[in-house]
Amino acid sequence: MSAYKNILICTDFSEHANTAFVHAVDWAKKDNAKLHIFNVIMPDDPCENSVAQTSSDSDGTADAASSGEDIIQQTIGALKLKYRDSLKAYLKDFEFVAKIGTPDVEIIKYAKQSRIDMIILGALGIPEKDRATRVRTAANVSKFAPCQVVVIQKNIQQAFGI
Amino acid sequence: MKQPDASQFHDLTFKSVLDALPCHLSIQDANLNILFGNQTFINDFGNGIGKSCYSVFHGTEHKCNECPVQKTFADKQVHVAEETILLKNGESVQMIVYSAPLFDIFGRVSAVIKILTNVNLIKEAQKELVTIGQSFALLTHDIKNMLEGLEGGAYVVDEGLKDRDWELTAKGWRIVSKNVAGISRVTQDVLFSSKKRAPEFQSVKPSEVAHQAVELFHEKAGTLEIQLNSQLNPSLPYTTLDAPSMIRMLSNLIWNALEACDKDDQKPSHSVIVRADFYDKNHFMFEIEDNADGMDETTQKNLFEEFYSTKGDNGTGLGLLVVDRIVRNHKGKIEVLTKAGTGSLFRTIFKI
Repeated sequence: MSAYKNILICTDFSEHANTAFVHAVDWAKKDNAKLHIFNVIMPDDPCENSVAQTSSDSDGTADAASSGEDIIQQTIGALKLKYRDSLKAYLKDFEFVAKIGTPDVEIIKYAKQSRIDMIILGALGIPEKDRATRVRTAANVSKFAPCQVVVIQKNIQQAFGI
Repeated sequence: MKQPDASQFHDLTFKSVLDALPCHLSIQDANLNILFGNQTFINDFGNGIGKSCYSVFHGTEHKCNECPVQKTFADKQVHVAEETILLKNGESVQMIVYSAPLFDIFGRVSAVIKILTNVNLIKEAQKELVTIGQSFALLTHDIKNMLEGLEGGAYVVDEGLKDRDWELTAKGWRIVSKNVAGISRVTQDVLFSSKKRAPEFQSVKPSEVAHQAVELFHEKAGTLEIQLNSQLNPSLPYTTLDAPSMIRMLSNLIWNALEACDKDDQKPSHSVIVRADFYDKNHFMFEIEDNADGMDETTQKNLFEEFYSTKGDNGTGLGLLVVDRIVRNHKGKIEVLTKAGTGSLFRTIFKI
């Protein structure tokens, strides 16, 4: 089997996604691949693909954010904070990416643009009642992605302390 | 006859009349410098007095190749041209340029009066007319094909009846039905895309609207041996929608999905799933998913272009144009997921 060169790990910071992340790092290390750590920000108005002028921190306090680009940078910051330290010990080549839109559409678009040859994502993500969208992300990415797709369930031993 | 009383106009100056003209009027010298501009000119080009016309009208430092003003200086005649003119706000506008000589007492051209008239609206109307012409030709061709199909079907029915061959009769009747449905659909799409129809907004449940649309296709799906399933979330709340338009939109997407499945001969069985569900807490979505042949990159790019169809003689390309228009009228959004050989998913998102 030929080695993968570009692996995309999609995370919504959920338990499933964290488990998928462990597999993605493992696979990227084995194949010496570049790992793209990807998060999709749900727009406040999907019809305009716009985000609100304010966002909330994890503790619920409002934090002023002037544009979509600011929110993208904030999200990339959050991805780095959560994953960068644990990645450095294992991988040389990785990139953090955030996009605004519908998750399945953005994941597939990015996979096409960046010549991704494997997508790894969690099965269900955040519990249904807390989910930002009812879009069937894992099912749709599995069906329509231009490359291999691996959907991971949680319940394996958590590595990396994440 | 009573002479008109012109005394009330005595206070009007010549300049105030020129300023009131709804066109850009300027006077230029032989060096193409602007000597005078009326108020409309100043409004759209700023104070360009003393500057060259090519810098003011075209934002360039070079004279134009086909300059009507230069021609008028040369031959003392009136000249008319059509030019793209750059307004001070950066907008490019198509204008008719009219240049006429102003003579001195010796009959020499001392200056040229230049009048610019905005013809953008006329140009748009011209484009519309060309589109209508093309549309008419294409539609006529498609309807002709369907009528030929109808004649063919009727012939097969006649032959079947003559020979008391009920299998042949049924086959002919299926051809007739298919072409009647095709003509009906094209006619409805033409009406929908050509008429200015006032939307009938009312409070409806999106799952009910989707249910009504799906009901229209059970028979067709059955005939084509395609599974038509629906997953409609009944807890979607009442929403203000133009229900007939929504049913039209969903019908076109379901019709396309069924046709795509019918065309695909690579899979042993086909299914079309219609969903209505929350997109997020403030929006809902309809999804129409099939497992037909999917679309290649070219088809994806041209999806919502007028009269683009992959169905050959069986499609006009109007269906998705109508979908696009309905979605825009509802300030919604369309998303498409597709993969060649796998299938397609059309998602429309609207505010609750």
